[in-house]
Amino acid sequence: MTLIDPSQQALTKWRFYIDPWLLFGILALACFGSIVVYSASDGDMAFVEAHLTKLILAMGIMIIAAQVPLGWYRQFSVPLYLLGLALLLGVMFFGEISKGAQRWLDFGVFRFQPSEIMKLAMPATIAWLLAKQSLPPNWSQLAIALLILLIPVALIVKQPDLGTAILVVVSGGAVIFFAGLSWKLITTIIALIAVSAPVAWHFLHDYQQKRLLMFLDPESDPLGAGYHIIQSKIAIGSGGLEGKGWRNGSQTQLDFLPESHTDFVFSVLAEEWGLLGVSLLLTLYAFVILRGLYIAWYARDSFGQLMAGAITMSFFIYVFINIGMVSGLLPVVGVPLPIISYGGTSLVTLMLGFGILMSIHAEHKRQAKRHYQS
Amino acid sequence: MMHFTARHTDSKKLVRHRLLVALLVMVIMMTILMLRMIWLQITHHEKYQELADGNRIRVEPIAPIRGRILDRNGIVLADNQIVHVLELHRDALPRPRTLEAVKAKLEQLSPYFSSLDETAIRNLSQQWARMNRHQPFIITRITETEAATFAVDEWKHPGFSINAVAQRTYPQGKRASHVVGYVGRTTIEDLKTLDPENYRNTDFVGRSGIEQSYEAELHGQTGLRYLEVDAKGRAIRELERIPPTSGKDLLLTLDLPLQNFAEDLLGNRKGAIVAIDPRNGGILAMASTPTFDPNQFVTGMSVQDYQQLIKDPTKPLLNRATQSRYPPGSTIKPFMGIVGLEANVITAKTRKYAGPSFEYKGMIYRDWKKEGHGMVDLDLAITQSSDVFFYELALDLTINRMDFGLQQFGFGEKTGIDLNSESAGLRPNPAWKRRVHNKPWYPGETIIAGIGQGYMLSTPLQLAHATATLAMHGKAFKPHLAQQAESVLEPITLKNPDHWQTVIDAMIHVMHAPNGTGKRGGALANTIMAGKTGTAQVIAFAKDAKYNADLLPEEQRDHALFVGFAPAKDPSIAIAVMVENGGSGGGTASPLAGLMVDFWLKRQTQTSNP
Repeated sequence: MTLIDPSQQALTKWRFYIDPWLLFGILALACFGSIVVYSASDGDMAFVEAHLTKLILAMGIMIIAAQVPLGWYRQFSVPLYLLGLALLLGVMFFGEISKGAQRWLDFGVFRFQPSEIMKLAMPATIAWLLAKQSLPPNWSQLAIALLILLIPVALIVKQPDLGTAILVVVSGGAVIFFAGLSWKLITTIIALIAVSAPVAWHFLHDYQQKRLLMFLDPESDPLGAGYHIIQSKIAIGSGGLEGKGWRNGSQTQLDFLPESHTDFVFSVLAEEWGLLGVSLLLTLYAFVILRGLYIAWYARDSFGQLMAGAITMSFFIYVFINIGMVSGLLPVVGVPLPIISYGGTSLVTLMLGFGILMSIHAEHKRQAKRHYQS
Repeated sequence: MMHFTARHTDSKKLVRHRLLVALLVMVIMMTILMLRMIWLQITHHEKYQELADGNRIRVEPIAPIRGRILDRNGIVLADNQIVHVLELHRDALPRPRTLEAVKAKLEQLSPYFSSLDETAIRNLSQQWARMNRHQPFIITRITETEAATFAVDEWKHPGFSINAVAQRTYPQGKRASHVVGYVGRTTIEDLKTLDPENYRNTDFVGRSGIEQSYEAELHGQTGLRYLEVDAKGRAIRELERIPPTSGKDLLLTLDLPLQNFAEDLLGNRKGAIVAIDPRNGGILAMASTPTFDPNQFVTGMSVQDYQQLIKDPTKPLLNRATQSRYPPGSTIKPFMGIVGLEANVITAKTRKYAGPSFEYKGMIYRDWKKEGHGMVDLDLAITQSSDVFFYELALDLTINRMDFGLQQFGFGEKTGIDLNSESAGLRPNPAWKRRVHNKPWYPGETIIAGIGQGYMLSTPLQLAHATATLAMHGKAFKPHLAQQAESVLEPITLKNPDHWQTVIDAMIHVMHAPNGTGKRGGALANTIMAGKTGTAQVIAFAKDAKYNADLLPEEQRDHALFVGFAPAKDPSIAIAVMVENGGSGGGTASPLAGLMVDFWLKRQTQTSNP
């Protein structure tokens, strides 16, 4: 039996899915970000326009991604993962050769990095693997999941791109955590990392070691590598409760703050908008994150749950690492502030992640539709 | 089914539990961030406010002057010239500081500068969004007169100023361009491997040749300038200056006149000539043709021009002397001779019948001379370049002994010259073939290796280096271009040192005996020289086919090779000549070497008796 007038049935064939709450949070952050970037770039509309163009393009991708049924992501996770792996190997073997040419030819707006594919394809593959059986995963599943995680990470670390490597580890690690990795194992892994840290030190590049040393004692080289951290802390601290006012931050406007419109954009915000502005920003982020967790909570199946949890967790870690690094809590690893920072190759991946999040939530409506149609 | 649903619900509960844990962790981490902000912005606000107010010192890097590159006579190969440029200072522009406003302003300025054309403005527009707005941007190069004229009116145009900057220039143009190399614009990727502090204000970095391999010494140390700025960020005065340290001038062993002479000898042909001073390993000339003009990498070229340069089938960017590998052909024979003598496989008196061909296990290995050479000893075998003699020698020697002996002369090994991306050539042996081709070694391959054909490949530099070692009776030096890089290598010692002279005498006969294959070169040398010709096959021929250069397309014709040194008694120059598809070693390559020797010895007498 059907309750729908046959003439109306055509309408149910295609439905437009979007999560208004997520969209609202992202738009609010994007607007706030553009205002800050305008100030950080010394009132240069060209920067803001370029920033907005990238945001709008990326949000278009998000909206398209939200229309794709979740099953497709599950199906394409493994081929995408393998493609990403092949591209990473390609970068390793052929990146060097093409360098000379790439220096001369600049490929416009979006530069493509294979490691970006991994930020989504890798957690999706692990989620696909673990969701095939009931949770928590057994030993062999865990071993395979760990392998899926570590191979691309090793390749990215070799590139070398420490910031991206950390984010990729978080996205994959989050899936395994949400899938119910036992607390015993979690403690063991943390202990192992603590023990192996001194060993890892030797594998870092000179400039990476330098950054870590500077983080521990920035004052030791106030004009060299510690300069960024010191100036950034001055910018944040001098902002006070209410801030110095939009386009009035002396640290920003007199160029003491480095990379003010990209990685250090948070310091501009903190200087000019003060603790109140910071609170507003963190509230907006918290809003987006809570919505993400809500979607994960009510996701229809394990795959959706795991993906939604991992995407949300990664987003939070982005925010935490960036703010932590510009405020001197964490070493400078070159992670932009999501949605706010100018440009950034990771913007597309980020928005694609939100699109998948929306698609996970849309599964409820898709299911209802299927129910109707049958 | 019931069971599955139950487990499914369990899974869901598990993840939800973990989501709660994650939420808790995130709340804690968010709290840490908030506490940090309160700590910085409230608790220590006054301290940071004071620091911000006192932030009136700006540090600017001062780029060092890059070291020059000079030949052995002090002739400048790479220099810095002061050029005048029109610069844009975005932070000094009147508002609005938009691209449109700047374009309109440039329109007004165009009468001042002839080079301020559409290309310059298009370039500016393309870079606009990406450029660092606190660093001056070079709009275009201008003439000295234009700079003087504009200087009077400069105050009327805030944001635009005239500056003089040092720019790399190669006064010799296309000469020695593979040796000197070139610099290119510093990119973000470069800064991952270079010290970013020292390269803060460096626009160019060495990309090939000496410019690349001695980057660290040529670059110098960046200086710093401490500027006091007013509340609007304008510089009021300079407080302190740590001057930059200029890069070191680098003196090469290269002799530019000889280098030019070598390049002219090759002319339009593709090839390479390497000349080494055997007494210390210093490279006197390293010509590789065709060449290119390194200046275009500095002044910039269009994408089309660059594409054309890298896609050119004659590969002008390739240094054929160090990066190209060729079959050494018969130039390997003197070295084979020494290895054979030392292994007691032959003596100086051993005579073999060298007919038109050599037969082994039913396979025929032909000599280059249809009628053969008759009874020959080592001396005659080298003089006339008998193939059959060396086929048999190689077989008796076995591939492993041959491999070990040739390795001592540096075949198949990088020479360690002070240039990046040197090729190691290829010295085949059974282990190599198993590893790379996963096939056993065949005796036939030993036979053709005896005349430098088959898998064997070497660079012209390796040939020159091996010849220099032979000329010095085993005393070896690392080939080098910078005078500071001279270093002695482990010498080759023979059980019977007379063997050196046996082979060298044969090489003298190559050049000066009436039946010597290199007599055309010997006649031009005006001294007694020693040498060996070589003709390397590019393609294999069927048994009965006869090689006829005129019938073959150019790229399938033989490579002409030659190695030699002079004067034979007291050598001061060792040479390797390689002309791609040049025909025969005796006809094409040996005369070039003879002329090189004549030119070099005359130059030496000129410089020593002025």
